Amino acid sequence: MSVEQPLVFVVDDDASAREGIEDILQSVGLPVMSFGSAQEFLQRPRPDAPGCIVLDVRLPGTSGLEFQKVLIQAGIRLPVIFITGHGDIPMSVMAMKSGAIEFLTKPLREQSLLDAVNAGIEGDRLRRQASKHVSELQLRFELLTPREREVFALVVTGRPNKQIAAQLELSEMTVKVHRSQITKKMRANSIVDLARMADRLGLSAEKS
Amino acid sequence: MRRWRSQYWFAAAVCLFGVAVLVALAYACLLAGVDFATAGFLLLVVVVVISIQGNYVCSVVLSVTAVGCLVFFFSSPIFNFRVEKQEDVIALFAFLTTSIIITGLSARIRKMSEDELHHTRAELARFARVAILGELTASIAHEVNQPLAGVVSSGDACRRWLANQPPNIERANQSLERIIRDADRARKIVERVRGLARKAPPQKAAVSVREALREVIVLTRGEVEQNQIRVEAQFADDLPLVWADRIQLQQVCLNLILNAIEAIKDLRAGPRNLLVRAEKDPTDSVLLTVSDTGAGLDSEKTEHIFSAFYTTKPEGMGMGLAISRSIIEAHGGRLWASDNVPRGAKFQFTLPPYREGAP
Repeated sequence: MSVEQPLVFVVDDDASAREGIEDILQSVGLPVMSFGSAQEFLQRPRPDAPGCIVLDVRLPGTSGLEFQKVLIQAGIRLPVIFITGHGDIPMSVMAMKSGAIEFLTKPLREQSLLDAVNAGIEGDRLRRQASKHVSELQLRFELLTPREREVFALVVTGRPNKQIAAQLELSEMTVKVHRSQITKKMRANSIVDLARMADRLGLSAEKS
Repeated sequence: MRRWRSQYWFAAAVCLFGVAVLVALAYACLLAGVDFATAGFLLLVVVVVISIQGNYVCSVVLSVTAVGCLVFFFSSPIFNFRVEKQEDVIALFAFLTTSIIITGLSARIRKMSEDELHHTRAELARFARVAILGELTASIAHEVNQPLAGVVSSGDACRRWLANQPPNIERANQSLERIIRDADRARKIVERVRGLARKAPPQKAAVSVREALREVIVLTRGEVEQNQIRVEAQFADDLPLVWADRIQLQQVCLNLILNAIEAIKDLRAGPRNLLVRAEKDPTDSVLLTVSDTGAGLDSEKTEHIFSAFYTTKPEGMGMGLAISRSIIEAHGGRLWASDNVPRGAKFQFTLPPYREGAP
């Protein structure tokens, strides 16, 4: 799979600080989009790419920490790197608790910034791949008939065909047919594979 | 210049009044049959008392008038400015000398105490200003740190642009431009803070309220952001310049803004807004308003807040508003407080406009 071009979002109300960060990231070849406020970030269209947000804690209007909450609520899962001019401990604890991956103080040390940004992008890329995989599985799962889904849920619990047939009041033969259909539609190689897919789709908890 | 002129008219009025009193007193003494020496003593008392109000020229005029009165009413021939007796001439000369020396001394002492007062007031104002800067340290540090962060980042970037193969000279140059810009920004902030702390006598000049206020708002930005306050600044387009000491004007604004922040700081709920507005009032003066949506004023104590050593803050000294009011009044303006609608407090002051030629 080709590596997608990453994108870093910088949100800082101070032009000097913002442009400095932008410059560093661009100098190592990272594309950057920057915003002067949280509102601007939410309003402007953003390309869909693996990336992370470099976010100032102190922002006019919505503070950085509130903004982080808004992002989570809006389903924007980009990793957040906080930067602050005055790193106080309670604030950094709060930021890390709500899922920030790094908390850096201004003036920024170039290497820590780049390390954090790269880690953020990598993390986002993995997350995106995983969620892409899940959505693909979802599509396959939708091809199954209601009956096949019932059989699927039982197969992945490891029950033999006979038991499944009894439980669903079907012939053993019919269960076998369903089972091969399921394996084909889900493009699974083995029963273990199917079980793993069920896990990803969050089906394993359904009916035992 | 207007103050000088008004002082001049005041002195002239005192002088005229003094002359009238002296003539009336001398005539009254004559009618009462008082002798030369007693009349001279009474006139001298009047001259000294009145010249305390006027200036030195006024004292000389009054002394000469008193001598004139003595000659006219008391030395023979009476009702004539001729002096015939030699001892009268000596007495008159002695009177004139005494009068001028005494009034001269009193004028000198008055001027000294005025200078002293002026100096003390300026010192007090500076002391309060430095105290304000103390409250602002976090904010100032933040304000200097931002451009410095920019300088460091742009410097790092510049090095990378140059290290690229081939070096990207254009981008490196852009980074350098930004470094210079940001360093200059930091320098300006430091300069402003130094200006506020400097020990310099108040100096009036034509000042743009808009510019002076902008600088103050920048200095308080850190404080504002930290307390999540929304600041709105409104400046009318037709604002006249004012004749003021810029530093003292900024001090008053800083004081009012910091008070407003203080009032909003501990609010649990409700809007956290601070409005700074400068406009022209009907008399062409500049009207400045700092209003907040904070806890508001206790209506019974609204006037007390301007008294020295009155404070509602645990660490307050209670000098801020008292000094602010004395500064504004020394500029020929007025400072007052009222309730903000729907909530909070509102502080307003006026400053007379600068008029070219006759400021």
